[in-house]
Amino acid sequence: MRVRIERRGGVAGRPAVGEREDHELTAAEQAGLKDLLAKPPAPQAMAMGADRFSYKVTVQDEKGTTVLDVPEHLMPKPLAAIPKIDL
Amino acid sequence: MCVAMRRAAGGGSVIPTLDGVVFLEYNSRQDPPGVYRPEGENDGAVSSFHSTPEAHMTNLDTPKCGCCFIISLEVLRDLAQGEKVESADRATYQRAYAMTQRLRLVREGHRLASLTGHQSGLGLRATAVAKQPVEHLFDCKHATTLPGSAVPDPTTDQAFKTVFDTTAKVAEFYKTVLGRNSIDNQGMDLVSSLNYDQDYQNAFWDGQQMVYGNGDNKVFIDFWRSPDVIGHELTHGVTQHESGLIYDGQSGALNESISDCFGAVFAQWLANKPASDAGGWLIGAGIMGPAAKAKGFTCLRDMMNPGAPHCLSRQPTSYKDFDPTGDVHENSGIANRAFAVFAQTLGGNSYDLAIKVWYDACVSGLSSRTTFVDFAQATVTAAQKRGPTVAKAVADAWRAVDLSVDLPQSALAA
Repeated sequence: MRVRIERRGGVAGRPAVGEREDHELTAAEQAGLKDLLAKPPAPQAMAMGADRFSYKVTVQDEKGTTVLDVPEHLMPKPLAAIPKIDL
Repeated sequence: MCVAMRRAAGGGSVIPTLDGVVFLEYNSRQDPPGVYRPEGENDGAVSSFHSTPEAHMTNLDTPKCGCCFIISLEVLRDLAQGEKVESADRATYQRAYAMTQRLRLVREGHRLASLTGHQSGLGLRATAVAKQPVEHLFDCKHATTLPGSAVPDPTTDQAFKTVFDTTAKVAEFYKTVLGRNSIDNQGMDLVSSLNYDQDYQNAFWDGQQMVYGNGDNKVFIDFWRSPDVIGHELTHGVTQHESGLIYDGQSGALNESISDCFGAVFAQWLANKPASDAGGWLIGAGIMGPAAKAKGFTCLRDMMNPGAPHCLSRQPTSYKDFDPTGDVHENSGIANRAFAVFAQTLGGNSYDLAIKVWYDACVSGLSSRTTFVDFAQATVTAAQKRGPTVAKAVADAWRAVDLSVDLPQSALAA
């Protein structure tokens, strides 16, 4: 399994990306991913206000590809820390 | 502006606001009528209030809160944002969340007022001389619960003092330059939370307040260090209370651009910079971290030159390049450049005329789904009231980003 997490938005507007193989995920990250896949956000879910982050989580495994759009307030914290800005 | 509370002559005290004071006078009543004072909640607050225009504080020696909230703010917030909640119900929860948050702030303000030396058993009565915005600062202490812990005296810490002072200046800018009384034009209190989360690379408006992260000290440093960022976030509140531009597509890009425009012009006003000063059009120049600077990035965005390589987040410069799948912070560059070109064409200071035209357009009754063309036309209409030369300058600025607007004959002649 491979997980790719893209972060968009924020007042800076600079995207950030992070990828992990399943064996690279920490226990907290695995738990967060499990929760997210079990309870995916509704397609139109958005955080209130402006300049909030939004995340696209792409999971590739033997079953295929799953893509989730996750607003900041519904993103598991350990997963939110994965994307980094590549200068 | 005085920050510390102090006793006033005649047995009362004053609370500083952005434009004056709220006078607190002793009130012999122990409990104002209508106050619900149940047993239970005890968070150390010693004030109470009821729903009349006069706020009352009583029983200062009693460690009880005068107002309880049956549903916690966190639960209301989750319901207000819950994707599985029906939209009509969610709207109700959002209103309840907003009201609860404001009531909590009132309660907190009264609790802080009680710390000014009123330790007798006498009640305290707060009478608003005029509704002016009062600032409230909170410290998240690197957690994500909002608003965090109240900061009673922001002068003891440089970060809180800077945010306090700069936020007060944003309110002053809105009042003196644009004639607006705070975010809602009705003296809404201004709430800011600092130290949000760990290494948080962002600042945001959550629908009720401003929130600032500290960055990672590599790409970004503290997000409150750029005055334009503080002006940007507060302006999101103004937009929310005016047009409510939906944060997606063209309306979302306009929402972002408006925050950049007012944030940049606020910073120009603060530094007394003319529109011709290129540095005045940089967004976020003060929050760039050492790693970003080492790579040659001097700002998040450059309104005059949105595609420049010194921008950490480059943007399109032409309406032809609007990307419907793009983030609102990308497409906003088109309208940013139109405004910067307009302001430089007029010359002088952006805060003398250009921003007033944009403001008039923003409060002209825009719909929440306003498009770039709609907004451009609204700016032309607003500019016409200031003469054909101004209207032509606006139209020319939009043409500079490849967006055509209708111009009246009088302006064409100019």
